Amino acid sequence: MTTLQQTAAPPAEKSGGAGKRLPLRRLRPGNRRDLALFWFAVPGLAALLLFHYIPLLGNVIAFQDYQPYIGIMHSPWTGFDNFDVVFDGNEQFLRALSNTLQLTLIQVVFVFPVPIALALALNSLVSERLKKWVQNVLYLPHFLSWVVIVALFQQMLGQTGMLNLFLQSHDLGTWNIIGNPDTFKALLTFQVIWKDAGWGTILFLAALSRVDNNLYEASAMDGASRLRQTWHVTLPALRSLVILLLILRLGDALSVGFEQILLQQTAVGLQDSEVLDTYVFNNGLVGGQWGVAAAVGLVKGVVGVVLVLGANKIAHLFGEEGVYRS
Amino acid sequence: MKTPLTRRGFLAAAAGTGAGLALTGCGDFEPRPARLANAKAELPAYVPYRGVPTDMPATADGVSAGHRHFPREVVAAFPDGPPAEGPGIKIMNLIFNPVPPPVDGNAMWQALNEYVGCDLGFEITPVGDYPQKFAVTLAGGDLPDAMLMLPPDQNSAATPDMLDALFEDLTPHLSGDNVRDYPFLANIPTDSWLPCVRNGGIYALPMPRPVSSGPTFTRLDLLRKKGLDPDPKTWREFFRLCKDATDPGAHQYALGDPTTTWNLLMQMMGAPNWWREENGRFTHYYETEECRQALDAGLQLTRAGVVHPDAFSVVGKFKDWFGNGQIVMHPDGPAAWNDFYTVYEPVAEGLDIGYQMPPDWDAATPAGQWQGRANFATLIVKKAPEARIKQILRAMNALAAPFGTDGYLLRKYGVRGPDHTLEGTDPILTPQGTAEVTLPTTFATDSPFTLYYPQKPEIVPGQYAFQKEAVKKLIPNPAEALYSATDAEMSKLFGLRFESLRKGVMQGRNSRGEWDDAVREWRREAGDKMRAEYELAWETRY
Repeated sequence: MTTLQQTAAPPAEKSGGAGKRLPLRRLRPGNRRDLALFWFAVPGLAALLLFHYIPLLGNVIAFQDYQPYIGIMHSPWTGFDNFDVVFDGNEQFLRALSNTLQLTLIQVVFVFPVPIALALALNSLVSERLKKWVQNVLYLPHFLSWVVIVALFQQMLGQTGMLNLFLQSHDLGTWNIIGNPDTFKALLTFQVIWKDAGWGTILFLAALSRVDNNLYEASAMDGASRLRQTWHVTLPALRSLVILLLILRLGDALSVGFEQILLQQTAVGLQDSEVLDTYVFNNGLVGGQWGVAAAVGLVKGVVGVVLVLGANKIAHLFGEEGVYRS
Repeated sequence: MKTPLTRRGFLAAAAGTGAGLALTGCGDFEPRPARLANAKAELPAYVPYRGVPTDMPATADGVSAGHRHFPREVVAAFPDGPPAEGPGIKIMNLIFNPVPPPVDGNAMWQALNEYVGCDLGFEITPVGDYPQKFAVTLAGGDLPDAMLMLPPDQNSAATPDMLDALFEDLTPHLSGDNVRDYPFLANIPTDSWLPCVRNGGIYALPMPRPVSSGPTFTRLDLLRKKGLDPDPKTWREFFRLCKDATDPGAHQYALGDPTTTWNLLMQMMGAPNWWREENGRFTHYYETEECRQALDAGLQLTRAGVVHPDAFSVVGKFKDWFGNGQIVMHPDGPAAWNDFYTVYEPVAEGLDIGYQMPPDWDAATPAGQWQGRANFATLIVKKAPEARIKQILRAMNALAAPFGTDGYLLRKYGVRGPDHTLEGTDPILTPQGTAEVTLPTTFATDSPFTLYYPQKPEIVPGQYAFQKEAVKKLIPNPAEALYSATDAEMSKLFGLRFESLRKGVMQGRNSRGEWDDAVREWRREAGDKMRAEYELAWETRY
């Protein structure tokens, strides 16, 4: 992946020169090989345009009192009224925002490093067969839908689930995990790790496989222990990828697991489980406040863009490439 | 991923949004005043069908007719041939069951098309997704010929203006004696037509349901085994019964569903069925003292450990718990009665289901039974030329053919042979029939609810007895047939918050003070406006 990054980025002087040309000329494929690639890209670009960019126009309902049956054309304009909810201290919105930020922080701190640690552990396994087997086991939960996972956790940790029945049968009382607001965020985090940590190792393992073995040999000759090798060889090799992924993660920092949370909202109540995504769903699609929901979604999107651009800038300051070159 | 592309890409998107803003129309929409939306209309005449005699007849106060057996002589509903020949009719509606096999492999559906005289195209959506489907279908503009419309408080998109703009005013066809052209629609009781009226016209067809609503079902077999009286007379007796019936060691609890349990507590106190009307003044149940008391009672039940420990963290498991004996009491709708036997009798040995009326709160506070909605939902018909409207109405008339007719037999039990076999005169569904008859004709329109269960005819008198008892103490919802824009817009949103809070209070997680705060906020932001709109609507309509 890191190598891909390097080849994908054009030399600096070329990109500087391009700036002087007309924009259209710059988009025109330069040679026969580029032309072929260009045509390959066209269907993808068309899909991107059709399903990502054109629907963006629908955001206009954030400025309307939108009524589905009269449509965008005839719904009355309300200016920035729908955005009031973001700025006027609306209790529900603030609660959703606070829960989202808490979950973002928890997930960046606890979830993000897990695949890295897991990849390092997997990489240190000597037996290829064992490694493949462990990898497959770790990937599997990624393919289960949240409905299944939530039901699975309910069966295991619910008040009448496996754990509690075991505790009960040994007179150890019960432990309320599923319907308990105090453990809810920990439960969500644990579920995310269980489902996706294995899958997240793929990129890191790919990067690790590209580390030059000579570096390990040289450091071993210099008497470096396994720990020092990890610190001085492996982690630096992963650094660009970690930063790239961290920046991309920041882009959807305010998305903290819509389906997963929606499915478990009844158990703990809105107060502790409402996040921005469920707020948009509950207000927009369920509550019919389309305009307000779109406004909150729009603000969320803008915050995401600002975070990505900001984080990228910081990455540049530290001499990293980030998502794109400066 | 180069810098210029990323940044400019974003700017281009922003510019696109700007262009979109400029291109869109002028926002010329003005909602209709409440008075016009709730104007009166002349209702269809009620001409009851008297084809099948029974010793358990329907009554004027809302008891459904009961039948132990299907009549030997099945009446041909349309002796002159299919009533609605013409182009196919697309109907968008919903389903609770798994989706039935498509028409090509569905003997019942094919026979139904033949019987009606045209192809009925059902576009079926699972019930939970229906409001979203409804809204996006309206927004998309490609409307089916007829679509199910949930009551406004469950479906904010269903506004009177939308009806006026896109759907047919059926008044000329159905008001007064005009409905006699459609005799099976004329057999639907007046209560069910009331919510079909909007904008001073009849804009929809009913999907009638019994007003008696459902009882608290009891597992008589399990309660008797413990020697408990299944019929408590007061809240205290009920609480004691709950405690006696609970045995955590055996994973057996008194109650499961926190929502219907709370509804039951409200009914014990005779609390309003959503709204209460006194001399034209409206009060919502959120605001009542009964509501606060019911929250306390709910907390008492949870603290006493008589509510299933997973009750608050799962959805949709309650029927299973009742069926497999993890809970012994379960308030539910009227249709659940037969379903319990169909689904659980094969696995629950000796299953015996009884009913319980809401016990009185105390000697001074008699209980009531919340009146059920007279319709599950209503069916609206897209604007079309008169001849087409008449064809659609004739088709819907066919779908309302009552008990005792071949049309009823076909809708509920399919075709003899593939879908059902006869036991005496009663149709018993085959596995193929069970899958095929889930075709949701009952969510287009229907005949009035009939108590009938061919697999176990002996339960019908009990069901009839329950309805007779229930209608004596019905508490109606005065707002059921009225339209309030604020309620339509806000009720789901607040409903979600209050449900969450109510469950919180019942578990001791939230305080009653928080509930009071929420009620104050509701009044400020929505409740008082709803009240004013309903009071005006009431004055206009009645």
